[in-house]
Amino acid sequence: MSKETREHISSLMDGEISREASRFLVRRLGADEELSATWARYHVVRDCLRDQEGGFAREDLCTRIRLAIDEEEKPAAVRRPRARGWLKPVAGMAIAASVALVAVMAVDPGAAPGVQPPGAATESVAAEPFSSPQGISTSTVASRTVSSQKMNAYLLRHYQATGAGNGRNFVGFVPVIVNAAPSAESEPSDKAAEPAGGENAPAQHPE
Amino acid sequence: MRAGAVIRSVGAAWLLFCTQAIAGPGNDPLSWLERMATAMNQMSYQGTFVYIQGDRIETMRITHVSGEEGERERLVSLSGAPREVLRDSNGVRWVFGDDASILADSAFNRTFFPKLPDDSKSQAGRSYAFKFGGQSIIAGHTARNIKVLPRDHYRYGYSLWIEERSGLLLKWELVDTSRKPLAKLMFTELVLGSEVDRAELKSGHAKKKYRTVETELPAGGAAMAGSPRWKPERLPPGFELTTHRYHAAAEGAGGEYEHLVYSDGLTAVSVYVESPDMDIEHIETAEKHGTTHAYSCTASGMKVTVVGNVPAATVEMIGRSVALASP
Repeated sequence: MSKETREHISSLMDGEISREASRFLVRRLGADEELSATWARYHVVRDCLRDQEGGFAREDLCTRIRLAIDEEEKPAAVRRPRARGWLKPVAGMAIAASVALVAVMAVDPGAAPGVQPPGAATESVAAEPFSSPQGISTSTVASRTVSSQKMNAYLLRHYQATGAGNGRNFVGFVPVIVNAAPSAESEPSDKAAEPAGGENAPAQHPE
Repeated sequence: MRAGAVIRSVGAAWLLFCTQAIAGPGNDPLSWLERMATAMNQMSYQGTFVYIQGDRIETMRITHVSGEEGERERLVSLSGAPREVLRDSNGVRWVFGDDASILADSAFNRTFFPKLPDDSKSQAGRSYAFKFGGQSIIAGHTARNIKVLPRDHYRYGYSLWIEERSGLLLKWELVDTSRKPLAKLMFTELVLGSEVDRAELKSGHAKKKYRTVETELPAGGAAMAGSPRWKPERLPPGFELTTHRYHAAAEGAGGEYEHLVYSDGLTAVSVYVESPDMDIEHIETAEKHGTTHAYSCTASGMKVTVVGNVPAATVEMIGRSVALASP
């Protein structure tokens, strides 16, 4: 499938495609299995992920995807999430496409043999010693922004200078792309969400 | 008897070989991260991924080709406003499709800055704990989960799913200091090597007339005897100066510029110190760009801006402490 076609599908989902192009694409969707599968996959991505809470509600997401699969497999069955064994052969092209995506996004680590359950991860994180930031004010900073072009320049050079960020790969540039979207203009920092440390609080940095 | 000993020796050697082969990159999570960094730079790959941050969902496509011409990369949004980031030996261009402009930083040459230290094991180990998670199937590939847990509140943590054979990153989560996820990236499709369609490296906007805007940041020159002219007096534990570039002021005019990069071995913070633009009132500001925080203030008559993928409190603490370095 060409890049243009994928972009058209995405545009169609976002309602950013002309009526003529939309009609053409919808006609193709009815005849082109690959296109239809991609369309379904994109929708599962969007629908499942939009329903998350606080960024990621893993359990909710998994449950929704499982329910969607159950719904397709057993239309008359009671909708009920399964704790194990959900990733089994399913019927229908759209579901086949969805399963690929489900494997990407919703493999419940707790449900798969040999995989660490989510709770374990949380516990292991919680077991790590954390210290408080040292001498950080929680007050005070005005929320007016630096000119966007100047800030973009700082960001671009920062991502270059640091080898594109975490993991030294393209991931560091992803926030750049996201930030460039009209609805993601710079926003004041949410100071309340940041860790609060009293002025001159003792620094701890356990090994 | 002798034959039995030989058989036992061969058997032991074979067992050792198999054990090492299964272990792959080893049982050390850090060796997996190092392998990932190498794979992400040196392999050719192409895929579609979903990026989620709060209630924002973006579908993007990455094409990365590594060959004789070095690395070439195109990151393009498939949803929302058209945006691209292009990287190659000519630098980085940030393409804004909605207003037909390209932000370029041609003054910057990647070779000016060394890569972050490869020998960062011990440095990163002081600031993070590394743990193995489980296995998952992501985009048809088997991935191993590595958890990177910050030891304090000055930095974020990560959960990474790394493809077992190639070492490529298939899934990435950024978590804040309260272990709350901030952003997530997941591949839904990924091809490697000869399957990569190199035609996708070409910008979708190449044939259109876009105006190119330069960043206007000075390139900076060689570091002055290895010592920054300006520096923060307070840094989070584990952060060390990686490199810096300095551009002296013109005689009788402004234009002094210094860029310092501090790293804890995994993440990095940029500190920009510049002569202020006299036509603009410079006030203390804090901004959030995606998961990146920025803090700006004035210190000793200079404008200071700190940028990094770290908590807001961290950039603020660093920015507030910037002062002229002692001679």
